[in-house]
Amino acid sequence: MIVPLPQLLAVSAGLFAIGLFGALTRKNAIGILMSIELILNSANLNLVAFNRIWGEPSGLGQVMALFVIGTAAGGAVVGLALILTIFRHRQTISADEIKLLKG
Amino acid sequence: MAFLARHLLSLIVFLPLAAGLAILFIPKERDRWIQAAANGATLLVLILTGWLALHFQPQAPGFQWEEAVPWIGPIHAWYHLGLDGISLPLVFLTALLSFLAAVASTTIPERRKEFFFLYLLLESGMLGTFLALDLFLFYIFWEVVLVPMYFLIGIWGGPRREYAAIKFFLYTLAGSVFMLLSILTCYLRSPAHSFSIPELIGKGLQLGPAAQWWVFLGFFLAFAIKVPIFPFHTWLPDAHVEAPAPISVLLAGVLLKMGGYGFLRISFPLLPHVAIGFSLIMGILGLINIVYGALVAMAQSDFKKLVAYSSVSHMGFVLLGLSALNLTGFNGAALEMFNHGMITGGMFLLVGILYDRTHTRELDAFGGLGAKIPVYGGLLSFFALASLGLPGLSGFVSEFLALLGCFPTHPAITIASASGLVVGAAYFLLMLQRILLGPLKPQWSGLPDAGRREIFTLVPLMIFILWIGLYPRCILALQTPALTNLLFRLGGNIGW
Amino acid sequence: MCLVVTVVGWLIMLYSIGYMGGDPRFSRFFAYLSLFFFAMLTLVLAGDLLLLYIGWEGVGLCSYLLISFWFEKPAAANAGKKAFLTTRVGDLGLLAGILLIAKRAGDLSLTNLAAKGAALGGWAPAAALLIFWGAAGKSAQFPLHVWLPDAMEGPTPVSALIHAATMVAAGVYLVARTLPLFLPNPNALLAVATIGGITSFFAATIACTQTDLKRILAYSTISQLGFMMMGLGAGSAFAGIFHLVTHAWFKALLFLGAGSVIHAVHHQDVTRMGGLWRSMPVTALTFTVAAIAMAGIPPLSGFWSKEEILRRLAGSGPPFLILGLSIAFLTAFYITRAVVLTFAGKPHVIPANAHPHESPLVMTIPLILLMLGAIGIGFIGTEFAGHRFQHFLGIETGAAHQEHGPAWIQLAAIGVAVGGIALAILRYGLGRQLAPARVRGSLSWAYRIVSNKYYIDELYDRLIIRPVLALARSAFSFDAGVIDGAVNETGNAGLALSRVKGWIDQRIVDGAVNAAAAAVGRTGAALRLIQTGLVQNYLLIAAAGTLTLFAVLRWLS
Repeated sequence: MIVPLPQLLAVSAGLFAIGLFGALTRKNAIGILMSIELILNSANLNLVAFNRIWGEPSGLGQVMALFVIGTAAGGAVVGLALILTIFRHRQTISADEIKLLKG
Repeated sequence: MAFLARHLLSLIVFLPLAAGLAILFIPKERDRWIQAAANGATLLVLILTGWLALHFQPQAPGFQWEEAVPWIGPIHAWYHLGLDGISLPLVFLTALLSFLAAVASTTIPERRKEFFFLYLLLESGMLGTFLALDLFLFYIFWEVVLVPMYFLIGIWGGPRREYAAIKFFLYTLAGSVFMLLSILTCYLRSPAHSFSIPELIGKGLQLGPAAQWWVFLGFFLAFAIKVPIFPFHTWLPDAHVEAPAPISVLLAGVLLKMGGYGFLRISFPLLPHVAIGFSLIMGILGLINIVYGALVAMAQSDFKKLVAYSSVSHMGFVLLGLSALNLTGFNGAALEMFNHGMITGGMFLLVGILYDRTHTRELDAFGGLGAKIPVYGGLLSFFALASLGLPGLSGFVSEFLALLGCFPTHPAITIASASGLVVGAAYFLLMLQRILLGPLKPQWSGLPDAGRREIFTLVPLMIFILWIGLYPRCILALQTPALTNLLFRLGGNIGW
Repeated sequence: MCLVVTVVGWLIMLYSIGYMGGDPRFSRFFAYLSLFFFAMLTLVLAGDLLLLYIGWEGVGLCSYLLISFWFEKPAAANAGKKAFLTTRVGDLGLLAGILLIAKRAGDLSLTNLAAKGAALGGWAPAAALLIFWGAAGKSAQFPLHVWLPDAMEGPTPVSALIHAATMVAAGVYLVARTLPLFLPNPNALLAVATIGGITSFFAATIACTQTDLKRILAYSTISQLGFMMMGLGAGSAFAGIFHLVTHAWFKALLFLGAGSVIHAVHHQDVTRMGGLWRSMPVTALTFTVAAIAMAGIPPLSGFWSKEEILRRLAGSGPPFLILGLSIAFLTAFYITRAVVLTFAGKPHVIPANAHPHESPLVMTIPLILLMLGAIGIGFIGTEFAGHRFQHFLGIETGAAHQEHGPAWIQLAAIGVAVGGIALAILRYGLGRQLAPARVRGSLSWAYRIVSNKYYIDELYDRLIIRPVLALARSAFSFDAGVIDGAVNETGNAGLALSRVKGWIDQRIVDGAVNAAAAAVGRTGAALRLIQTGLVQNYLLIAAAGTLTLFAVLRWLS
C-alpha cells in the first residue's frame, strides 16, 4: 500500500506546526528541545517521502534522513548538556529567564 | 680593524649615538658611570678626529675617507660621507667642544641620563651634518640636530626655556623647509638625478637664472637663520640665554657654523653665478651683522646676552669673508668660523662658571671680582681680548683676513665694518670693567675662584687660540686647497 | 729706539722695585711690564707692517692693563678703558692703511717703502694719512690725545715708561719709519706738521694751567710728541727720532722724579707742595736737570734735538717756525713753573702728618743714571760727536743736513727758553703778577677754557660717547621691539591661524566624523531593542522572517 504524497506532506506539515508551536511557546528548555526534534522529524518525513515518490535510485533521501537523525542526536546531546550547565549555574531552565545576551 | 679604518667617518658620526644608547641602560644611580661614558665617548671621538687631522692630505683632490653606499634605492639617496679641507676644521671643532662641554656638564643637576643621551645624539647630528655629502643625508642630519637641541633647551634651560626652545625649533624648522624645497628642485632639475653633492656640482643644474636665484634663496634662508644673519638672528639671544652653559657652548660654537658651512659646501659651488651676484648683498649683510650686533651687544646688561650678540657681530666677519669671493676672504671666513667656535665657546663656559657661583648674569651685580678671583679674571680677560681681535690671538687673524679679502671687492663696506672693531673693543672692555674692575661688592666676598675642572675645560681652547693667533698657517694650509677648488669653480680671483 | 726701550726700560724696572714695594699685586705688575717689553720690542724690531701691528696692539693691551692696574679705583678702570678705545680708533686708521697698502702694493714689509709709495699711486697720500691717523692715536695727537692725561691714573713708573718714553713714541717711530711714503706728498707732510703743531701748542697751553704734577707732565708729553711730529712733518725723520730719544731720557726722568715726590708726599697737587728740595735733594736735583734739559738750555740734551727740529721747521715756512718757537717758550715756562712750585720756596701746606723723605737707593740710582743720560745723550746728534746718531740711523746725512740753517735759530731757541724760565721764576718763584689785574680779569675766560682742557673731553662725551651709547640702546630696543617683535608676531599670527583652524577642525571636520559616529550609535540603540536575549524571540523572528521571505519570493515569481 502506497500512501499518497499529499497525506504524507500533511502529516509532515502537522508535525512541523506542532514543533514550531512548541518551540515558540514552551517555557521549559527541555520542551523546546523536544519540539525541535519534532520539527526535524517532520523534515525527515518529507525527505523519505519525496525519495519514495520520485523513485530516486540512489536513496539519497533516506541517506539524508539518516544524517538528520544522527545530527539531531548530537544536537540533543549538546543541547541537554547546555541546559544542564545552565541549570547548575542558575537553578532554572526557564527560557524566559535566560537572557544573558540582551542588548 | 681594517673594517673600522674603512668606515672611520661612520664610526666618528655614530659613536656618540651608540654611547648615548648605552647610557640609557646605565642605572640612574650610577651617575659617575654616566658622566664617564659621556666623557669617554666624546674624548674618543676627539682622538679619532685628531687622528684624521694629522693624517689628512691637504693637497689630495676630492674627499678623503669617503664612504658611499646606496641607501634608499628608488630615490637614489646614498649614504655618502667624506672629509675635505672645509669640513675638517669644523669636525675637529665639534669634537673638541663636545668633549669640553661634556666635561663642563657635571654641573647639570638633574635628569642627567636623558641629558647625556640627547647630548650625544646632538653630537652625532652635528658631526653628520659636516660630513654628509648627500643632500638627503645632509638634510636628515640637519634636522636631527634640532630635536635634541629643542629638548636640551626646553628641559634644562632657564626660566623662559619653553619660549626659547620653541622659538629656536620653529625658526630653524621654517628655514629647513625652504632648504628642502631647494634640495628637491636640485634633485629634479639635474641631469645627475641624484642627491649627491659632488655629482650635482659636477653635472650642474638645468635651471634658468631666475630659478637659480630662487633655489639659492631657499638655501640662503635656512643657512641665514642658522648663521644667524640679520634680521633672522633674534632666536639666538633667547636660545643662548636660556640654554644651560654647556649647550650654549655647542649652540654658539658649532650650530652657528652649520650655516656658514652650508654656504661653502652647497650654495656657492652649486650655484656659482648666483653666488657672484649675491656678493654685494652678502657684504652688506655682513656689515649690518658686525656693526648692529656690536651696538646691540653694547646695550646689554645680561652677560650671556652680551656674548650672544657678540656672536652675531663675529659671524658678520664670516659673511664679509664669503662676500669677498677670493681666497683671502674665504680663508678668513672659514677660519673665523673655527676661531669663533673656540673663543665664544670659551666665553660661554666662563659665563656658566660665574653663573654657577652667583646665580645671576646681571653685569651690574658684579664688580671688582678681578681682585677676588684672579684666575677667573685672567681667563675672562684672555677670552675677551681674543674676542675683540687682539693681534697675536686667533680672532685677529681671521678678522684681518676677512677684511683684507673683502677690501678689493667691497672697499667701502670693509672700512665701515672695521669700525665694528672699535665698538667690539668698547663693549668687551665695558664688560670687563663691570665684572672685574672697580671696588669689590660685599656680597661676593666669599666667591671661590675657578676650579681645576673648569680650568681644564678652558686651557685647550686657550692653547688653540694662541697657537692659531701666532701660527695660523697650520690650519690655513689644511683648508686652502679645498677653498681654491671652490674659487676655481666660482671663477673668482684665486690669486688673492 | 730699541736701545731707548731697553736701557730706559731697565732703569724704570729697577725704580719700580722700590716704587711698587708692598703692593699686593707686585708680581703681576712685573709680569705686565715684561709683557710690555715683549710687545714693544716686537713693534720696534718688526720688519713688516703686520708684525708691527701685532706689537702695536700688544703695547696697547699692556697700557690698558697697567693703567687700570689699581682697578679698584673706578677712575683707573675708566682711564684704562678710555686709553684702549681711543687708541683703538687710531688703530682703525692704521689697519685701513695696512689694508690699502696690502691691496695696492702687494706686500707689507717695511723695506722699499718709496717703491711702494710709487705703486700706490694716487692712493699714497691716503695710505700715508691713514698711517698717521694710527700714529696719532698712539702718540696722543689731537684729536685723539684725550686718553693720555687720564692714563696718569696708572702707577708712576708706568707713566714714565709707557706714557712718556716708549709706547707713546711708537706713533712717532711709525711715521718716521714710513716717512718715505709721506715724502713725495707735500700735503701729507703738511697734515702731519699741522696736526703736530696744533697738538703741541694746545697741550703746552693746557700744561701751564694744570695743578696735578703728573698731568702737567702728561700734557707736556703730548706737547713734545706733537713737536716731534712737527719735525717729521718738516720731512726729517732724523729730527723727530732725535727728539724722541732725548725726550725719552728727560721725560722718563721727570716722571720718575714726580713719582719719587708722590711717593713721599702721597698726593699729586703742586699747589700743596713746595720746599721739597730740603727733604729730598737727589730728586730735586735730577728733576731740575731734566726740566732744564726739556726747556732747551744748552748743552743739555733737549737743546740739541729741539734746535734740530726748529731748524727743519725754518725750511717749512715762517708760520711753523713761529709756532715752534712759541711752543719752546711755553715748554720752558710750564716746566719751570712745576719745578718752582714743587721744590722751591718754603715747605708749606703739605699735610701736617706727612714727613717727606728721600726715596730709597733703588729709586734714586735710576734717577741719577737717567740724569746723566738726559745731560749727555744730546751730543750724539751734534757735530761735536760727528753726527754719530745720524750715521747710526743711516738716514739722510746727505746734503739736506749739511746746510746748517740760519744761526739765529739757535739763538732764538736759547732766547725763548731763557725767557720762559725767567718768566716762570718771576711769576711763581717770586710771586709777581705778570700783567695788570685788568688784563688778567679780562682773560679769565681764556684761562678757564684752557684749564678745562678746551672742554674736549666734554665735547667727545656729548658728541660721540653718548650718541653711540644711545644708538646702542636704540639698536637694542629696535632689535627687541621691531625684529623680535616681528618674529613674535609671526608666531602669534601662526597661533591665531591655528586657532581658526582648530575651530574648523572641531566644528566641521571633527563634526562630520562625530555625526557619522552618532548616527551609527543611534541606529544601534534602536536595534538593540530587538536584542532581547530570549531564544524564543529570536526563533520567532527567524520563523517570521522565513515566512516573509517565502511570501516575497512567491509574490515575485
